[in-house]
Amino acid sequence: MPACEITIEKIDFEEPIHIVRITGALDAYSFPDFEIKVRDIFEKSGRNIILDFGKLDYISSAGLGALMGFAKIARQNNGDLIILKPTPKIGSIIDVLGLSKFIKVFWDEKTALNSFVSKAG
Amino acid sequence: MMKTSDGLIYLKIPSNKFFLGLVRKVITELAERMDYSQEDIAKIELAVDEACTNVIQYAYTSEEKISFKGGKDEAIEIRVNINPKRIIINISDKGKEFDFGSYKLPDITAHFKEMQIHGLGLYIIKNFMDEVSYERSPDGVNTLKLVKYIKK
Repeated sequence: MPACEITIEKIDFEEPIHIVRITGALDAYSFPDFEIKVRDIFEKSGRNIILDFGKLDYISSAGLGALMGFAKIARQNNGDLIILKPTPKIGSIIDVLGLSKFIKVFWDEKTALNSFVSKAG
Repeated sequence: MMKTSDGLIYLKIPSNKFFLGLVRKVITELAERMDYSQEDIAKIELAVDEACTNVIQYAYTSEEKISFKGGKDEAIEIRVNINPKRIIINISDKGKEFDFGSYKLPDITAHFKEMQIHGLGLYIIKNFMDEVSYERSPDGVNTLKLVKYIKK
């Protein structure tokens, strides 16, 4: 089993939203694959990203750093990057580090999707 | 719960990120057998991963140049010493010296405001462990010592 599996679902909302679902561990080893896939979204003009952490059981500073970097790019393009359903373990790491002050966290997909609508409206 | 035994556990891995997951499995499995909270287990796991990642990325700079098994001396030795009160994890390498003394903890909130994340690995190590110290032996072995006590 690979350390990390990434699937991307494009949802045609008011404008496209990409849901990136990550299963496994996002560490220094698996991070390059994650980076390539998310950069590809930006290169194809996507700017609204939901990172589904529901099945992510580990993240290290490589992954956390990428989150911040990608959130910055998304916002520069008037989009956003948000986190969906972190496990209690990852949720507490994000909280302890104070990251949740800068990146929004949602617990259900519908609310996460709607957060982009209300922003556009 | 059964009382934790005193013990020494050795693990030696090639300097390659492929093995980070293995190190985490061993460390968390061990910490779970002790009386740590889930939050402390996650902190120990993350601190050890960050320490090994730093060795691979900075002490042995050319990960892509070395063979999959690592060069002759390009290995990381992890020695874990446990007793019912605490875990000590010594992480050793023969790579470049690290200027630990001049490292200043970044203001992480200011960092995040700028959406930057440099130095987060070391920040995690220092904040998530109870004691962190670095030593370089005369024969060129770097050792980062991490200690975490079990909260009563």
